[in-house]
Amino acid sequence: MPTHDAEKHKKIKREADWLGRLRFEHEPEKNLSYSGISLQPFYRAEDTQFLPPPPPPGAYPYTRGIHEGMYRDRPWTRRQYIGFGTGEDTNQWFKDLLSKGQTGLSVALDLPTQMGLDSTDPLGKHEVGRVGVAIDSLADMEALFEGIPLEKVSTSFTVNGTAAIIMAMYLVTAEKQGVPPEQIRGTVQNDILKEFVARGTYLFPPTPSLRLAGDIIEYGITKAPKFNTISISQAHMKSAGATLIQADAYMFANTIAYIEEVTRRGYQLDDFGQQLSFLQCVNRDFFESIARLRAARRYWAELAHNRYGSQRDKVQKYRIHSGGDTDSMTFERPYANIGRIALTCLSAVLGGAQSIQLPCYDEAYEIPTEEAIQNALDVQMIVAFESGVSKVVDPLAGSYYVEKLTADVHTEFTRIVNDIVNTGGMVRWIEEGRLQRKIAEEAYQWEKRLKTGEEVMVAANFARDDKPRSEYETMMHPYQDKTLEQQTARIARIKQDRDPAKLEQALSALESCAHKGTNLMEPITEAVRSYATIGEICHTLKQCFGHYRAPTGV
Amino acid sequence: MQRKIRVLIAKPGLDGHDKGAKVLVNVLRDAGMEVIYTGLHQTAEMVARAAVQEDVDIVGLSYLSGAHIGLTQEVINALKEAGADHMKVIVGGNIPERDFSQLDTMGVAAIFAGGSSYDDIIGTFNDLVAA
Repeated sequence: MPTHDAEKHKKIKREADWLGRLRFEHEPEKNLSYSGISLQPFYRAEDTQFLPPPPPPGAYPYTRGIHEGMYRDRPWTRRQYIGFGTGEDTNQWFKDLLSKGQTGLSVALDLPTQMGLDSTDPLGKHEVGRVGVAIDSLADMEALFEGIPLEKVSTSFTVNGTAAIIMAMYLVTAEKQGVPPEQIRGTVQNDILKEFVARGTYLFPPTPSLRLAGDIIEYGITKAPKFNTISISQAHMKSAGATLIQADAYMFANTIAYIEEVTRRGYQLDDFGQQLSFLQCVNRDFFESIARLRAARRYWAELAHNRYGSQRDKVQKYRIHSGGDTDSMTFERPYANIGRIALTCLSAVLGGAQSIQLPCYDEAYEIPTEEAIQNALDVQMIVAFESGVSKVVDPLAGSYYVEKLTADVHTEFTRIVNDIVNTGGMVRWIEEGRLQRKIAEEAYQWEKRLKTGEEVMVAANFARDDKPRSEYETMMHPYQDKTLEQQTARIARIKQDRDPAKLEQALSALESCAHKGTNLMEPITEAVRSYATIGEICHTLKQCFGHYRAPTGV
Repeated sequence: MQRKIRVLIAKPGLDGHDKGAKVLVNVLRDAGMEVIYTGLHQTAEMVARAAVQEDVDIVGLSYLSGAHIGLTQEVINALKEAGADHMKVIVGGNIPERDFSQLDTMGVAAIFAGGSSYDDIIGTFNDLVAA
């Protein structure tokens, strides 16, 4: 049908007009930033004369930082992402890192845990304890934090599809240590929408998934007010192929979907907004990275204030967990990655991040080794305590270039977010596979540009290293073959020890809440307390929510 | 006219990182092949069923989580079970060299670890089907 086709063509054309590497192809003569912003050879006062100078740090809209004193008052949280094997294995590593300069914990979970499968499930048996720690029940969480005082440390969990269960396990573990949930500081990623377009750990269709994410946020308002109940994430969409600026905008479009999931339940953003945190990576383009973090603070503050009527400055302050992403690490000459890591860290600091995790020099090969984690932590401490960059807040403010770039990035955020919101919003974009297509297309364009050498990755496509991988593979993190066996034994033990009547009651209460549409956090917590496994809880929820086959976008 | 090379690109297991798989789908299509992508979270049986239904010449398995040994063996078994052991199995992604010989022994026709060139992949696919 011609009308339909014309409509479709128009849509595609408008999408392609978004700034991005797609544009690069048609304008090869232009000097562009990584994400495709047009750059001048140099900047002058005239370039910023129509831009109002941003107010000082700590003042709305916080372009220059959310705190007046920033790192002068408190350094950023150094939080490297680790986890492997059993709870005991990772517990040892946590304690070691806390004694060698780390100030917060960040837990990597294995894939079965993230996908709601027990270690004994045949679907996940090759993945147990591999890319993170295996958590099947409360018993594993207790082992993971044995001897770590949870009232003192803040812990971040990269978990989405099973975020509700992991959060419940963490709070119950704390309760067993004698720490009430109101005092617990930590984060669950809980950003399920981006899992449908990058990373892939979704369990249910988008609509019930969004409901569960909303349940966590709602529950946290009164039950765990110091907990970040979501960390809305840009980084994974960048890793999947989007440009940095596109991924930022997608993150904000997802943010709108989460906010509206909770406000439709009768809450105001000001009730829960200070528990939203953001994960925004920096990468490659040093100044664009800094400009993006500055622009994102302003964008969020204005969104909260103008669109949702926020009156609370705590809500309008955009808190960033930043760092780099692993796909910028090369296999070739892995020690070159230390240079990339240092630049990444510096740009996150100059951009004003609240906590930082860095990729590790060996991470193109495997999950990082202890040496590589310590190296990333050392890089953070060198930037924090040796370089002197923490002494002055937002030191690049007033640079013609940085201020102009910050304004340009802000304009692009507005354009892309409005386009998504005005054409059905993020859930529809995901269900129709539109976002997946856009990201896959960008990824392909990027690969082409690497192939032609238009984009440089040192040692990979420039001053190339032709040593075989085996030369570097001695540094790989060893896999613990015995993890599956240990987890199988522990599951058998808890199944023998737990009270079957209490368990059954908890699971049937969970099922009835799932059908009724009431908040699932209380019944999940009860199931966790009765030592239900993650597989049992997710199986119960799947009975009601069903499975989902997502469009792939290619 | 010569039949186009038919390829199934699959993501067995739980790993959700499929940028590389999708880029390869586009690269192979641009090289004139018919390419089907399974999407994420495939069991060995799902991969074998899709391979048979689509009557492909090559089954490409992509892994980034480190579970390639166990999962590849399962897919090879499932293809045999489905009477499709004539199809060439290719493995790609984050594959350490120390695992190459074990994959060879299983009957994997070629391995493309991260950093491989697309021209090599296309060339190998053409050779494998011509052979």
